[in-house]
Order: sequence, then C-alpha cells, then structure tokens
Amino acid sequence: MAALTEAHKAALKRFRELRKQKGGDPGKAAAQFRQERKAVESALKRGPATVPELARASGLPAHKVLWHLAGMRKYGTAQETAQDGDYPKYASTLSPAEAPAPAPAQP
Amino acid sequence: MDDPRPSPSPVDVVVVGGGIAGLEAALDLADQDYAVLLVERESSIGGKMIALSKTFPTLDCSSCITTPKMSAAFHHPRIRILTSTELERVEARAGSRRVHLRRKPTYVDNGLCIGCRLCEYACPVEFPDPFEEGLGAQRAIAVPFSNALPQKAVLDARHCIACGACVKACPTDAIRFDQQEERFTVEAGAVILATGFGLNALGLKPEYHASQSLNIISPMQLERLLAPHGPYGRVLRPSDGKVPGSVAFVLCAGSRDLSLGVPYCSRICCMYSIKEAMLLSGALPVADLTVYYMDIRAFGKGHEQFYQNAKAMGINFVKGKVARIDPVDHDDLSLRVELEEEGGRVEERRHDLVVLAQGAIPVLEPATALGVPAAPDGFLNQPDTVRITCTDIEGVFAAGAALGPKDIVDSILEAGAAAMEAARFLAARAPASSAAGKSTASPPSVHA
Ligand SMILES: Cc1cc2nc3c(=O)[nH]c(=O)nc-3n(C[C@H](O)[C@H](O)[C@H](O)COP(=O)(O)OP(=O)(O)OC[C@H]3O[C@@H](n4cnc5c(N)ncnc54)[C@H](O)[C@@H]3O)c2cc1C
Ligand code: SF4
Ligand code: SF4
Repeated sequence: MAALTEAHKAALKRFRELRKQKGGDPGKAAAQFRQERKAVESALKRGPATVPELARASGLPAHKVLWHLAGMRKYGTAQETAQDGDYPKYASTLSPAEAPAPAPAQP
Repeated sequence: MDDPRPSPSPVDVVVVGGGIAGLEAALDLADQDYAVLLVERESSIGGKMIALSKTFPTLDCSSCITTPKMSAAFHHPRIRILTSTELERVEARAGSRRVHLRRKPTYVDNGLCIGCRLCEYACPVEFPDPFEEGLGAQRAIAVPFSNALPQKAVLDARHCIACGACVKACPTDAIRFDQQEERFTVEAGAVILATGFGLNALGLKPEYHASQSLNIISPMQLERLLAPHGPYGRVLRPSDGKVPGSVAFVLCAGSRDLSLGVPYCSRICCMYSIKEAMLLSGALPVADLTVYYMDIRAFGKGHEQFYQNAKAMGINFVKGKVARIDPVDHDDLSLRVELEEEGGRVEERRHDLVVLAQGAIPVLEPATALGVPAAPDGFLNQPDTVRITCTDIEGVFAAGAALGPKDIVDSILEAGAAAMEAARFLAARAPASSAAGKSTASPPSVHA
C-alpha cells in the first residue's frame, strides 16, 4: 500500500473543490451507509437470521437490510446459510474481532 | 503509457453503441478490413443483452452468447473501442461526416489499470448498483461488473467521498482525480447508429402505484434476479427478502396507450414476459405464476411454440385488463382485474410480486443527433422502405432497436444489413487507388 504523494493530495483537493462548486456532497449518504452497514453487521453477530429478523434487530427497514446483505455477499462479508420458511437466513463471514459489537436488541 | 487519447486520424466507420447490434456491425466491417471506431456511452460494451439472464425463444444463456462477441470486437485489430464516450451529434457536410463525441472522466488511466479491483475492495462507500438495476450494491470505484469489457475500474464522482483509500491501494498508481471531460470530433467515411432503446418509467401509470411498493418491479430487475450471479444469488422480493409464492406479470403496462405517449406495441414484452415466467417456474417450482394480457403477440420464428410450452408448464394466462394495483398488508399487492373471458367480471387478485412490462422507447433524439425529424414513433426515420437501414442523412445508417423495438435476432439481421450498406457506400466513393475505400492506416492499438 502506497502513501499519498503531494500530487495526489493536490488532485484530491481540486476534485473536492470542483464538486463543491457543482453543489454535490456525497458525505451524508456515505455516513448513513456506514451507520446502516454497522447496524446490519452487529445484528448478524447474534447468529444467522432472516431479513425480517435482522430488520427488527437493527431498527432498519427490511428492504435496506436486504440491500446491505446483497453488498455484503458481493464483497464477501456475509453468506446465505439456511432457509426459515419463505425466508433465507444469512450469516456473517467476519471473525468476531472484525465485526462491530452487537447492539442491544430493539424492543 | 498515457491514457489512450482519441486518435485525430479519420476512420472508415464510426459505430455508435456497443450493444449486440453495434458489436455485430463493427465485426462485420472489421472482418472486411475496414477501420472501425466503436463508441459506447456506458463503461462497458454489451448493451442490454449482457444483463439478460437467458434469451427467448431458445433459452440460451445470454451472457454466454454476448461475452464472446464483446471479446471478439475488443481484441479485433481493426476495431478501436472507446467506452464512457457518448455521441453528441453527427454533422454531415459535403461528402464528410464529422462525429462529435464527449468522453466522460472515469478518473482511472486505462493504460495503467490492470483490473485487479484492489481499489474497489479498499473503497468505503457503496451505492445502488446500476448494473443490478439498483438491487445490488456497488462501490464508488469499481470494475463495472464481472464480465465487463474493458476490465478497468471506473470511479463514480457522485458517490466518491475523496478519501484517497483507492489511491493508496492501487498497485499501478492508475487513479487520476484530475481527469476532465473531453469533447472531440472524428472524421468518418460512414456512421452506423446502434444506440438501442430505453424503457419508460415504471411509475407511468399512477393507478398502478409503482412508487409505493418495492415489490412492483421492472422486467430488467427480474432479469437480474434470475441471472446466476444476480444481486441476491436467487429470486427474492426486494421489500423483505421473501421467496415469492405468487408472481403476476402485467403486459402492455407502458405500451399501446396514447395517453402514455406510446401508442405502438413494444413487440418484445410478450415474449420476454413469457420467458421470465418460464425461468421463474424453474427457479420457484411451487410458485403460482400468472400473466395478465390483452393479446399475446408471438409472431417470430419459434415464438408461438414457446408460448404454448409456457402454458403447458402450468403458467396461468389470464386475458384481462388490470385496472389498478394497490399495496396491501404484508407487502403484498392487490390487482383489480377485468376478466375478459368472464364478460368483464371484476375480481381482486393478490400477489406478492408484480412485474410491469414497460414500453420500449427511443434513447437517441434524431433532431439533436442528426438534425432531422424522428419517425412518428420517436425512433429514427427509415426513409427507404426497401433499404431499411438507411437514415435521412447520406452515409449514416442504423440498426437494431435504434430503429424501433425489436428482439436480438432481428437486431443482428439489421446490423449485417447496415454493415453491408456502409461497405457499399464507402466502396462507391473510394478513389480508384484505394481498395474499396478502406483506410490503410493501421488502427490505433490501445483500447479504452
Ligand atoms: C427485460 C428485457 C428482456 C429481453 N429479453 C430478450 C430475449 O430473451 N430475447 C431477445 O431476442 N430479446 C430480448 N430483449 C430485447 C433485447 O434487449 C434487444 O433486442 C437488444 O438489446 C437490442 O440490441 P441493440 O444493440 O439494438 O440495443 P441495446 O442493447 O439497447 O444497445 C445499445 C447500446 O448503445 C449505447 N448508446 C445509446 N446511446 C448512445 C450514445 N448517444 N452514444 C454512445 N452509446 C450509446 C447504449 O449504452 C447501449 O450499450 C429483451 C429486452 C428487455 C427489456
Ligand atoms: S477516494 Fe472515492 S473511490 Fe477512492 S476509496 Fe475513497 S470513496 Fe472510494
Ligand atoms: S485502478 Fe488500480 S487498484 Fe483499481 S483495478 Fe485498476 S489497477 Fe487495480
């Protein structure tokens, strides 16, 4: 892994400034993404679960949980394990050290 | 090697659009030794076909047919490919065609990128993946999809937070945050427009409430759900990851309706819906599958038999008009259907996933791109009833869905015809010294 050179830093800075002029700021969406992803990862720490179960545990809408699971499957941090009625179950492939701690269960 | 620059040298033919029609036309001409520049506005060639699961009426694996074509064009010594490059307009002046193009920045130097995806794995941002029709996730820098060509990373400036993690991860220092959009012009002997078609909005009919339910999906979304490496790895409904037990297809949901601006029949919807229903019956053997139709148009070779096979498989075909669709509890949908074979009796029917057959619409605006009016349906005009790939501009030909909605077989046929017209046109105008109007300059070796 290489460090950023001065030229890289200058180009990144100009890229940010140019985008700001155009009125774009993906920062908020990215922060929300990370927060949601963490919530799904920590809900999965309690063991394999279906989308509706993970939605209840994370407080996120079910469709968002499914979307995150699609991304996690693609990038290798979740997998489908079994089936519970009409719903597949998903498990984390992260080691306990990598996954965020489980959040207290939502009422 | 620097980022491949567009060559200022003239080419024999510019083919616009890297879908199946454009790929076929480019290959036909390059095999006759014409120098071809193929421009595609997306970050990979392949068009719609590379995203389909299987194709009617043979149920062949779509990417298995498309990938070798993409590869043949990509590695052809007489074809140069520019992706992320869009046609703006063709200017035809006395005997010459000037093709005005716009190249969007990908923020990656394709001469350096080796497609290793280390940047993608390092990137902390994901957004709804356009290749998966929004159902999957894509990182802000990524190789667009597994069999994309070129296999080069593309950075999406709308989602990138400029954290620099990709730059640190890249082993070849290929990422260029200072890349800018470029506009340039290429002189061409002839042009083939193979810009394909678009699909009208899912929410076009307010009485179907598509914006209120994630379980009202587009046929392209279902293609991705059915694809072996689709977003969920299997067919699930988007609202909650349930294996659907009852799926409805609503035909003509965006066609044959003057009020939608699409008075014509989109020609492919009946067949792709029947195909998707067949593929679903394989993927979900216990699901109940219903196709609501006005009439089935199965006019192509093997199409009627395909339809009869679908009926024999147990897929329900119900002749009736779907008057409205309402979201109901458990994320299900209630369809109000006027059953035509029961004297117009109205019934509410419940399904847990609904696929709306969208209408096929033009993407190219002939008035802007060529300075000529469109045909009444909005697609490119075909002034010659016999030489159907000719446009209103001399030396500019067209093929595939750019001329109107059609299936893959017909698109390929037209691509061959357009290539033939272009070759004939170039040969007729060639000075006696050159062989059939072929440029002798060796085409640039770099692909982008
Ligand atoms: C859901 C669905 C399922 C289908 N299933 C089948 C099937 O099973 N069997 C079958 O035979 N047919 C099927 N079809 C139809 C099939 O998709 C078309 O026949 C085929 O894609 C037409 O190819 P094309 O190359 O003309 O257009 P496209 O595939 O649309 O390709 C056009 C290309 O041009 C590019 N482009 C557009 N404008 C520009 C521009 N200004 N500059 C540069 N590039 C541009 C586009 O990005 C695109 O890559 C299906 C269609 C749909 C919607
Ligand atoms: S700079 Fe942008 S593309 Fe690169 S890793 Fe960061 S967010 Fe992803
Ligand atoms: S940009 Fe760099 S890290 Fe990303 S795929 Fe290309 S070579 Fe690999």
